Amino acid sequence: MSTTTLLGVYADAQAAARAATALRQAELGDVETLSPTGDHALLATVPRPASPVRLFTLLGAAAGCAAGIALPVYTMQAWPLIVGGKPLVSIPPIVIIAFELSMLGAALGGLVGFLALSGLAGGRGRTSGAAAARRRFTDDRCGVLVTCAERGRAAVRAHLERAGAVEIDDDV
Amino acid sequence: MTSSGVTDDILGKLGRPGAPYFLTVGGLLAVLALGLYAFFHQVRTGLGVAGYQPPILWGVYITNFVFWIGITHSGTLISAVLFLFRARWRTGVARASEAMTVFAIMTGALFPIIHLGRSWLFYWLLPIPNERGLWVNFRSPIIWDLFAIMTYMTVSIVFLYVGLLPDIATARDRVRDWRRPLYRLLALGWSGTGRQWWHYNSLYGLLAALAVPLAVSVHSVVSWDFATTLLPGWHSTIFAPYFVAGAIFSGVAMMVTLLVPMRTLLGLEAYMRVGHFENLGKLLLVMSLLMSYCYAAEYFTAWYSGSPFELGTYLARLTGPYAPLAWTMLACNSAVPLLLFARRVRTSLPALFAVAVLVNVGMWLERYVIVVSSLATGFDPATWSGLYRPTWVEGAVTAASFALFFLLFLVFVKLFPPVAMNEIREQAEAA
Repeated sequence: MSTTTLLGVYADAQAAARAATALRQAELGDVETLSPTGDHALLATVPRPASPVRLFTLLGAAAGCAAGIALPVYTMQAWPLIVGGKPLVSIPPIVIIAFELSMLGAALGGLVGFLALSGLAGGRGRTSGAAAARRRFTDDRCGVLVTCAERGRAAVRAHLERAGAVEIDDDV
Repeated sequence: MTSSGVTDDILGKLGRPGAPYFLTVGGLLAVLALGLYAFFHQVRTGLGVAGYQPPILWGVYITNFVFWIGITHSGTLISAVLFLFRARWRTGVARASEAMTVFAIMTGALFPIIHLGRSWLFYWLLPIPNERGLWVNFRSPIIWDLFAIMTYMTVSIVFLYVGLLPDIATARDRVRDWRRPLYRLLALGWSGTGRQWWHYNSLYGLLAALAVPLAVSVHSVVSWDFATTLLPGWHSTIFAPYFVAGAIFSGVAMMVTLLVPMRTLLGLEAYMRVGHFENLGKLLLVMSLLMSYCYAAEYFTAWYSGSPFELGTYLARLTGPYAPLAWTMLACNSAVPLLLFARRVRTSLPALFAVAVLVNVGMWLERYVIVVSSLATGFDPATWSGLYRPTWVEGAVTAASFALFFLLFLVFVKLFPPVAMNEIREQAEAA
């Protein structure tokens, strides 16, 4: 079955949200939105579960915590120097280093997850970025991108127009 | 203002700077060059060119280190807290504050290296494998500092960058000059799809939540450089919260010091309203009261504990050779900010600016008094030597640190949107 992608361009987020909602209800294809801001009403038109970025953050924190425990414990034993009457493997410093590295791992893990899941890592997002740039979706326009079966093209186009699209592009 | 109008207006601020900008940058570069000359003179000649004399072996450089790390606290912390509480007024001040944090931490992190007798061996602080099987001492708070500061710097840079990403993409699609390749590189192909925003919102919230405990931990760790010693004047359980409060206080003061001139020079009156500054003024006042309480608690404990060492240290602070600095500090940090009880002062930008500058002076002096006067009057009176007098080398390096900080900030506000454009547009659309 051949598919096509249509792009409706809107002057405001409300109109784009109307189009996205109508298209999802009509189940004519996959709907994606484009917008210059994280407009919650528009984003809510395409329901998504909680972002897996949280999982990357958690894994990063766990890895950081493990490193923050392993590094001091290993080095304290590898270079057994008693300082200030403290035990060789002293718990308080380990807690501090483990906390700091957990935070570091969480932030970097979250960033890596965000870049990978958003298609921004390794330049994968560049193509769609260039296409979107032409439509000023990073400025004052919102967009609704629909991937549908070829036979549904007319119906999708009608939905996009009905919601007030200022421009519609076929075969994006 | 429409969404497109906001974009035009803010990106317009990034245009070619005028003569005053270049003059300021030139002046800052000259100060920076003098500081570099002084630093290389110190490297070539030895740490003796600084004014250290036993027992005062921590002086202006460590004062600067604590001061700059303190300055970092309000940027990311306040931006993150305001984001978590969905405070709408953060849009005007968050971006510049986050940038301030990054540049202050970059500046502050240089001072432990400058303070080293052999600065070129700074990497010995890092736990890297070496042929002699030596490792850093993880039981030392100095190493905790290294980890805390590096973590805070990384998280602050990530927080700033992620916040900037949609704005960089806007700049990429609008700017047509030599900066475009830079924006294209940094935007990473951001196109504003729902999927990207979905992950973005999740990450930004998580980073904000991480930044808050991290900021608290960093200055706690810095305070433990002092508090875990036995020296009277440093050995205090109150030091961690006291340092965190002081850091937020000085950070807010530096925010006001930077934002008031920036608002006028870049014409950002529409985004940084007087109400935003009034809120910062209130925060400054609250933090001043908290600091005054900490000072009082510190002196009360020293007096009522009956410890002659503690009492002697604090009395020496108020009546000894460093008394003029200690009293100036108290005036700047505890008395002057009381003016902010008057709404007229909070809403007058020149008055607020003047108070903030005095608080900056007071907080630098506070760090100086804590570091130097405590070392000057340790347990053994036989070690009490004369007055520590910073030399021109320390003065030039200190001035250069301020020049570096302001220079980085000036370059930033001409390269990147100085206010959060996408958040302002979102608010404009919602209004």
